[in-house]
Amino acid sequence: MVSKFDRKHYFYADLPAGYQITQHRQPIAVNGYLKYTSLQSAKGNQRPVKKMAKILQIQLEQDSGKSLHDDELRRSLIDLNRAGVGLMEIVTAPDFSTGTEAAAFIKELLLILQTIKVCDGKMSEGSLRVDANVSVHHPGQPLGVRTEVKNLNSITGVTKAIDFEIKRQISELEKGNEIFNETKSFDYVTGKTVTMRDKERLQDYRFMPEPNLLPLRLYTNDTLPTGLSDDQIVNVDKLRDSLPLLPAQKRQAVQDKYGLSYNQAQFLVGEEGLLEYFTDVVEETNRDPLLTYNLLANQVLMYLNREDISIHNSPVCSKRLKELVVLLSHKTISLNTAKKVLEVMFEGDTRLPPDIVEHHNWKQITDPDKIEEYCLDAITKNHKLVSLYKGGKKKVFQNLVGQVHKMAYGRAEPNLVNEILKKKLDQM
Amino acid sequence: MQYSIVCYSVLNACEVASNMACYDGIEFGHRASTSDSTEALYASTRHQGFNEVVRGRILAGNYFLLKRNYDKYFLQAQRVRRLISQDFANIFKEGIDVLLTPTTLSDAMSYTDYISEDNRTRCEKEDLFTQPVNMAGLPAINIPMEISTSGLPVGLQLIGQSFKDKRLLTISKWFEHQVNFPYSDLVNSIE
Repeated sequence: MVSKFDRKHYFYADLPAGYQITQHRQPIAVNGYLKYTSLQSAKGNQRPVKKMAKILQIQLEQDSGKSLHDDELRRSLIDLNRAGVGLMEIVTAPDFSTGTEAAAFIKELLLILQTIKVCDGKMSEGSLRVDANVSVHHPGQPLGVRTEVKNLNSITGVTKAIDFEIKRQISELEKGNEIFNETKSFDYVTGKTVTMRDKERLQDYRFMPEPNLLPLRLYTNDTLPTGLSDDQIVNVDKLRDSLPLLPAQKRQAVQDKYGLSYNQAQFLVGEEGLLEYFTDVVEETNRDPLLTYNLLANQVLMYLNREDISIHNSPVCSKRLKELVVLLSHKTISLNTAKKVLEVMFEGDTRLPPDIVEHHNWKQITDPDKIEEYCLDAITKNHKLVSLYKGGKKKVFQNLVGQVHKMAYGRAEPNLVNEILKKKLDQM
Repeated sequence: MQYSIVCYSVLNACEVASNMACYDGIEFGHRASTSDSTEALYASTRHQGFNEVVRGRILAGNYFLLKRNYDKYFLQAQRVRRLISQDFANIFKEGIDVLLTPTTLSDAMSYTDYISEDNRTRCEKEDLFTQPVNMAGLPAINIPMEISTSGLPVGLQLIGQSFKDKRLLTISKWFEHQVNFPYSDLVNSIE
């Protein structure tokens, strides 16, 4: 497996050498594919659809510098710090139909690259950039003229830019206009694509083999050369064996072991550290994984996202969450109480959940007699609602339930309340 | 050998076009005072900063590297280059250690004579013996041998085998010692 380097010549202020070293003629890898899942909306539900995108090639190349245009002072500022740094460009076939599909692909790709520690995935910092080529055509017709939207640096940007460009092209064609092969950039403020450079004069990059770089040779177990030391040999088989578990494998393992859905598994696998946290809690408690998942995905993550902290810096460590899950699954506290305990812990209380519950006297009331007392109390104090209910308006039951909970300061076990209140009302 | 200079003209121009691409006046060096557009700035800067010879080579090199010309010129020159390289390899395989050739076509030329022809024609003629060595990637050296009847120096070229630089230099040293060329003592003669 040999690949070679070429010089791609063009003049631009962010390209100090006047050429970029890339792999035009013989790139490092060709004919690949990436399986991913795209969420498709149907009847308000989102179901995951398995997809596969072909990867035409991967090439190694140099980065250019960064140019910023100062429209006010009519000048360009050039930052050369990243010029010459090595990059990997992944070129796919036109296998996507919507911005959502493309975004889903990018997400999976990012996850894989982060898992194998090749990229930190910070799109906003430029660690991964997307150039989207968009064209439209009628079914059965060949591909239309494409435009290229460059330098998309967020997942939502990818989705919006592609969807906008699709709409724009369709609109133009329906008006009877032509689509020009041009380069566009995406304006995040207006949500529109705008023409960047005039690419109507097709550039001839005058590719020339890079004379200073030797061909890059990759080997497999079957093709190992003799006479070279180990640090001179790149063995693809060896590298493949050393890979950590990839996202797809992790997701399947989560689904198989804990019975979670694809979306839930993706949620856990999709963010660094989340799966470890989840496993910590579930393994120790041996509790219903779904209970833990819900608490984690809803309450914990909501708080973390609000404060913009990662799971690693969560004020509620897996140990404390574990204790909370135990209280919940023992029905010592209700779900509402659990949420209150979490809120208290997020606000800075460093005690263990049992201590917090004890302190606030938040233990769940499960004594049927006690609950019956509250129900009777609520019935007595809410004549009107009871009359409506007895008169046939079954919906007001929830209002009465609410009244019971109010009297019990939210500590009554919900199922028992429903059961006992209904019984009491029907007995009347 | 007769194709070598043509082959060299093509490849040399291509490399010059590529290597001179960094002289755009943006980061360093001369920058023209044009402010019309970046393109105009590049054009003026490079026109002012390069002489005719370099500009000619850049234009030729870019022409050869165009997509439609790449195979006809650049790749073809590379194919010829491989043949030249093989020619030399075959000779050395027969048991030859070092090749001896003239370095130039005549004794040292006067400046007036030299500039009587344009650079490209001049190089095409005079570099006949030296640039095949560059095509083949072999070590070679010029050794001043004699003073001609006109009183000007004459040199001979020694060409060695690939990667046998040390052996070439050893033989050269011996040669140098044998011919005892009357070098000028420039330092003392200035006084």
